[in-house]
Amino acid sequence: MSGTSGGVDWLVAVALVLVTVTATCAALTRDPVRQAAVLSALGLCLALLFVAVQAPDVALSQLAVGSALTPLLILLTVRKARRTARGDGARPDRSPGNGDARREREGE
Amino acid sequence: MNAWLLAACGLLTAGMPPCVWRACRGAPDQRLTGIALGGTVATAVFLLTARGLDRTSYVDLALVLAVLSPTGTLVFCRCLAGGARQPRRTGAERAPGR
Amino acid sequence: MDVRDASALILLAGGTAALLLSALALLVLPGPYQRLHALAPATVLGVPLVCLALAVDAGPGRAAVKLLVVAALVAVSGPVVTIAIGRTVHEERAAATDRAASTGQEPPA
Repeated sequence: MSGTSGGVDWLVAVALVLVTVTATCAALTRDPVRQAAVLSALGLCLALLFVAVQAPDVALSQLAVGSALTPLLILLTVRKARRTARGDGARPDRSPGNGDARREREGE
Repeated sequence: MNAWLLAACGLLTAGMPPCVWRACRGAPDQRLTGIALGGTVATAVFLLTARGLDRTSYVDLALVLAVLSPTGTLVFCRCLAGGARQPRRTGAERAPGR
Repeated sequence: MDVRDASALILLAGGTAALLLSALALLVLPGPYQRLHALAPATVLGVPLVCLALAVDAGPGRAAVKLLVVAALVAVSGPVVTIAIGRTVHEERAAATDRAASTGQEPPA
């Protein structure tokens, strides 16, 4: 074990640096679609870190959640939100006008 | 520190940062290349770590990643393409054939 | 045994070199279509060579078969992913030019 501990230490250090950089990048990214891409890379780096500290079961779940599930959920949410926003924007009246119209209807 | 672990350290040190760099910069469709190559490099790192630490069960991790990484990228492509096609379809009054 | 170790090391060096080369290509190549070419050596050459090295080292058995399955999965999925990314980049660019054209003047579709 002492023969491989240097290599394992190096792996842990590099994976830790990668996770730190990617997490900072994810926190600084504003656009959700771009953030989904950064989060996918972050999940990959986290899985590498978990393997380096010899926790393969945690790495397995992190792979499943981080590289496939999180980007899928974010992208589906963004699509749904954009479609809803576009449907609202296609109407001639904007949301304050909508509120006024609803208030008028309620007043009648 | 055997040759397998040395190769894993080299791949993680020199191969992963460019992928992360590409995944963190640019338009959403240009980040896909970084993610795809990152998954490939991570698969190799998993395999080499499994052999270097003499834990053969870690190979399952690489097997799962080899399945999930292309799946995630394809899902990403599909969602991005759907989001891009949507405005054209509504702008062209729902083009026939689609 | 010695020949097996030597060939495993040679295959490992080749696979690692291919992977590092494609990482370098991802860093230095300009443009999305050029960068797409960086995926090919990693998926078709790099990971299968590493898997082959590990399989040669492990010898015949279930472990080698599992490694070769991983290699085949990566080698098959690489071109598929490359095609999908290329199509996405193309569609995004077409959509961007569409949007730029429609803001200038509305086409009658």
